[in-house]
Parts: sequence; structure tokens; C-alpha cells
Amino acid sequence: MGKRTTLYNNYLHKAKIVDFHGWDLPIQFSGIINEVNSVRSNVGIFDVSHMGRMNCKGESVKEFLNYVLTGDLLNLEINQASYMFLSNEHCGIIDDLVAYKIDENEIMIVCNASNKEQVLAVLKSYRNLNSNFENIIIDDFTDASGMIAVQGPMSQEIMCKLFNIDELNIRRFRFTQIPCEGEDVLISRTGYTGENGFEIIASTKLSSKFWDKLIYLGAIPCGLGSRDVLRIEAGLSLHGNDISSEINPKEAQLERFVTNSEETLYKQAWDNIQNTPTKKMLIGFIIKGRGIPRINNSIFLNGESIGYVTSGTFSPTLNLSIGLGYVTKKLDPDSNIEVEIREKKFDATVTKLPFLRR
Amino acid sequence: MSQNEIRYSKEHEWVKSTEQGLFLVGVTEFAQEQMGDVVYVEMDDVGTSCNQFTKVGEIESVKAVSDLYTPIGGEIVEVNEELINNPELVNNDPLNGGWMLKIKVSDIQEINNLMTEEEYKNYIQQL
Repeated sequence: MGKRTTLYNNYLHKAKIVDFHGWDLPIQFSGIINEVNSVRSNVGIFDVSHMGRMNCKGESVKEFLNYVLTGDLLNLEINQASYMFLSNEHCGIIDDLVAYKIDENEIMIVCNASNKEQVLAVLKSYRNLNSNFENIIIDDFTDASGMIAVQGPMSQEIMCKLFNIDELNIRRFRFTQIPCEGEDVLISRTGYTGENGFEIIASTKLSSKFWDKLIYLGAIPCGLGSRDVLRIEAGLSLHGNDISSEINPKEAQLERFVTNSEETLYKQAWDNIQNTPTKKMLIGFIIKGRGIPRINNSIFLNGESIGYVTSGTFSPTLNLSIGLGYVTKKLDPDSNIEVEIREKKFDATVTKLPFLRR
Repeated sequence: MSQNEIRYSKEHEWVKSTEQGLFLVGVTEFAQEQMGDVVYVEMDDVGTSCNQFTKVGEIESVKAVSDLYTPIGGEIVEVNEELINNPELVNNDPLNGGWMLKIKVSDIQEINNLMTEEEYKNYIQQL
């Protein structure tokens, strides 16, 4: 038996459950295609309570986090969230995460479930290295809370109904806290689907209530399967597939999330990376024909092997097969490549990301 | 084996007789549920000869690919072309509209290597 989120009993009998990095989580409810279509045309909800949630508190918390994160925390505003990386000294991506500025002395981090222990270990080791940071508190509150992603064009309406409010005006990558049953519920306009959407962080008890009420209000429960399809359609990387501690943000085509110009752990490595051509780079591609690219399939250019696939799926929204991968040659959009799927080569076209524009 | 009687393989394919010597092959309800939404079905060409339990095609769902093994040997005389445009038939109607191959059986005795409906029900309960 794996770890279970606070919502496990809400959906136990309605979902197909699989092991995901030690967690028992729903891979699908009604079916991946139906769930993807629901998020693209209506509203779907995801249990993302397994994701790591931690509060970092202390007077110099911004300076502390700035040393290891790639985002510019000094210029982050209160109630603003920002996507960035936890970087090692070589600029490898230890994890990708979202930092939320709660107030001047408190920043919340939401990171990947599979990397939470490493994120905690890295943050604590740097805190202990520098006496300026010794008073910083790092509080992992993952198990004391739940997190639900509400995604799709109807997400705003259903959120208003859930909280019994007339409107919910939060800009992208901003958040607010709404009082509800004696606690402050955090609502951010964030997500991992490429759709308009929100994420709710609340106590375990309230999260369970919210899940049931959202379904009662018409939201379609969605699993990890559709979440993966949606994020690939949106051209978003998954740590462990498309990015890792062996990949730097320039290779991953994610330089725009390295905005911190302060003295950092990775500054020298990043300066070097920026001044030299990369050996490999991430591309998106569309398969011509009836084949679905899968992880580690080889990518060819004029018969020569130039890379490998890191993510692939059939896209129900586009009705064709799409993938992400790394290649050692610089390829312009619309370049023709081949992807070898089970010993058969399929023609494919390099495509600008995201596959789906909203 | 009488007309419309159905037999099952351990790989979750079914076979049932239609006209004299011709048998339909497809996958079971259990198999379609395990695979999830089917998006492509690739089958060997009409005219191909195949032995019992050998690979005759691939079924691709959103998340994974599965091989299709024929539960009975013979010659493929027809493939279900409906599945090219409507692969969801495999999920929605695996035992009828989602049939995959029509086979001219070479050795009817091979049926004895397969499970009856009741045996198959017991088999999947133990998985």
C-alpha cells in the first residue's frame, strides 16, 4: 500500500488507482479522452494533494531562496506566484516548482511529489551552511493539507459557486486567501493543463468537502492520465521525463524562468551556459500517421540518429500524435524528422510549442 | 463448438464461430478496461497466415501499446475496417462491433486450448 492523499476515500470506488512515486493515485475516472475533452470544453478537477507544499519563513527568506531558486524572489509581489527551478551548482534542474509570496517574510513552495524530500534536503543543507539563514523555518505541511486543481473554461463559474461569491478576479499567477469555515483557503490562478484554471489549497477536512461539492456542481473528476496528456498538449515539461538534474534550463528551452541576477549558487555555471551553444535542445514534434511516440524512442534526421523522445501521447484535442524530445541539432519549426516507434520509422514535423494555443 | 459460442485466451482475446470455418477474433471487456481509450488498431493484412497465440496486430491506447495475439491459427480473411475511423468501438462494444479479425481456421482442435466463458470468468477473478 502506498501513501494516500486526504481525498483518497472520496474517489476510491470511482477511479482506477495506480502507484505514482509511492502514492496511490487515480490514473483515470471516466476515461482519459473524456477527461481531456472535459477540461478543454468544460471543467475538470484533479487531486494534486500529493504535490509537496512547504512554507519558508524568516526575515531573510527571499535572500535565502534566491540563492538556490532561479526566479527573482526580490521582485516578486505579495500574492504573486512564479514558476521557477531549484538549481544545482551546474544549473541542472533539481525540481521545477511554484513559489508563492505570502508576505515579506514568508514564501510557500509547491514542488513535485517525487522530488519533495530532495527539495527539503537541499534547502535545509543551504540554510545550515550560512549563519545568516539559520533562523529560517522550513515547514512541510503537505500531509496536513489538500490541493485540488480546477481546470477548464468553466472553472471560474464553478469556483464562484463553490465559495458562494459573485466573482473571482485573480490574474494569472496571482493568488488570494478566502476565509471559509474558520480557515483561510488559498486560491491561485495556476495549473498544468494550458487551460484557464485555479488551484485550491486547504485543510484536509475542507479539501475533502470541496472535492465532493465540485463534483456535485458538475466538475468532471480527472486522473493522472489526462493530466499528462493535457500538459503535453500545452507543451509543459514534466520533471523526470523532459527535465532533470542532468538538464539545464537553456537545453529545456526554459531560459525565461531564470530571472534571478543576484549572486547565486549556479550563477557561474549559468553565465557559461549562456555564452556557449547547447549540445542538445528540447523540441516538440507531430507524428504523421498512426503511431504514438513513447519515451526513449529514437529521433532521426536524414537517417542519422540525433536524439530521443522524453514524452509522447495521442492528443485527443488535436486528433494526432505529439511528443517532446531532445535533439543534438538545431532544427527550425516545420523541419522534417523521423521517429522510430517499435522498429518502424514515422515521419514527423518539428512544431513550435505549445501544440495547443489558448 | 456451436455457433456463437465463445472461447477465451489467457491474453484476453476471444474467438467465436460465424459461417462454416470462419471465426471472429477480438479482445475482452477485461482487456479493453485495462488498456483504456483505444486510439489506433493495426492488424496484419488480409491473406496473412498465423499460428495460434502469435502476434497479429497492435492495439494502441492513449497511454500504452498492447500486442494482439490470435487465439486460433489460420488465414486472416477480413479485418474490421470500421476500427480505423472508430477505434472506440473496441472500448464500447468489444465483443461485437469491436471485433478485429475474421480467420479461416486451419485446425479446429485448437479451440480445445482455450477457455470457456465460465473458465475465463474464474481466470480473471484470480488476476
